[in-house]
Amino acid sequence: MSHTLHRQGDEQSLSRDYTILAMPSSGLNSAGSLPKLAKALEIFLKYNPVNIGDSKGGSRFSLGSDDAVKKILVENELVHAVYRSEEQLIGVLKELKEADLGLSVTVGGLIKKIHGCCEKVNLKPHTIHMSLGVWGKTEKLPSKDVLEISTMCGHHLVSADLIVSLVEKVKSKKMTPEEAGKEMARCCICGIFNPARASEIIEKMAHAQ
Amino acid sequence: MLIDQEKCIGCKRCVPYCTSHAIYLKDKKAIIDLDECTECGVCFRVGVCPTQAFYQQPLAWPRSVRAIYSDPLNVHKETGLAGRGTEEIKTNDVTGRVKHGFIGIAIELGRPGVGARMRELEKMSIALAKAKVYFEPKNPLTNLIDKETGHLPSEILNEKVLSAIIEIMVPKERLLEILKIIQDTGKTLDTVFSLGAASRLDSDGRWEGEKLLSTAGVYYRPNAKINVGLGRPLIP
Repeated sequence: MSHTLHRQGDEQSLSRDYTILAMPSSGLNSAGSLPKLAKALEIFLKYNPVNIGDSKGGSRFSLGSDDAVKKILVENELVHAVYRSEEQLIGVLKELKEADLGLSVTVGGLIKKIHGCCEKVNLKPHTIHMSLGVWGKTEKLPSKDVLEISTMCGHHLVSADLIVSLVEKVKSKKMTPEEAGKEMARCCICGIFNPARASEIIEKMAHAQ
Repeated sequence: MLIDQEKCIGCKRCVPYCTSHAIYLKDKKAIIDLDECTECGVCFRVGVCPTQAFYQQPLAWPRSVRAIYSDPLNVHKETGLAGRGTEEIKTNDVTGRVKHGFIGIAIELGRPGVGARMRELEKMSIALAKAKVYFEPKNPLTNLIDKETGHLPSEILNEKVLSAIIEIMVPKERLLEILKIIQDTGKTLDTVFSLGAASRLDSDGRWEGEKLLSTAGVYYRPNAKINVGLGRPLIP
């Protein structure tokens, strides 16, 4: 499951896109993990994430509210949040470290920025999963702009056709870029999609046409 | 997934939501091309249909393979997790699965957003089995792969999924050799794949495969995911 990996875009755009997830390891430290997951989610929420969710139930946008996400948490799963700045990430990491929940925490984003954040809260990164890009029959891929949005849902539940249709709606002023971002976020069931970044890209695409 | 033709009003709202271009209009009604549909469930879940015409038909083997690898709400019996893969590096600070000196490789066929027939996955698994790699036992695809030959059950080869991940582990000395096999096999595929490599970080924050890739001129992205070492009990 590498659903937070392989997000595309230039470094400027990616510097406003950080994912974080907390989880126990099944059978190792998963027993009694539900209150720890709830605490991790509570910490996530303190730092104004643009999205939250859990792996087995849904997200802020698919379920309709943060309270709905809190209510469906179960033992032995994974909770996520998405942030737009290093400052938010540093705050979350600092508080997670202090809480000492024992859950594993994984951060997605620009490598040098993550290392910088970890340094600021005196965390020693343990393991890395690198993206070596897309291989194979790449002529089947949609445009670069579409991929910048669609790769933010690592399960690829935000279709290229939907992105193109929302660009048209924004262009014809039937929808705002923010509404388009939220509509796409409804498709991403786990809540790892960044609707704020997506709306910026949609707006750029609409103006470019 | 199916659409109740009595309920469908042909409004086309559902069409762009399909992740596989499988919904089309015929005689002013929306229909799902079941050969293209990956059973990801998006069209049903987002509730875009004003007449609730979508419904999930029972999925028997081998069609059930589509939902297993496409709908992230499916919980795999091998992993206890929802999604398409494993805990991989996300809990490596407590499992120690990826050890110093080894590289985990994740080959996610069909991603991003193109989809893949299982026969495309089999091409890759055959090539990797020939190279005698270690297939990650907890990966939900691994139990379908014959580890000696790389073959998948013949009845699932035409099934289409949004993506599925082959996860392997190799000593770092074999990284470039295995990447070459993956690259060469990739040229024979009718789909794309996203490639990831996982390793422990050393005390300087460098990953063990970085120098190898740089020397060989293999591209890697500036963004990644990093386990920050907060899991307990910690594997040092």
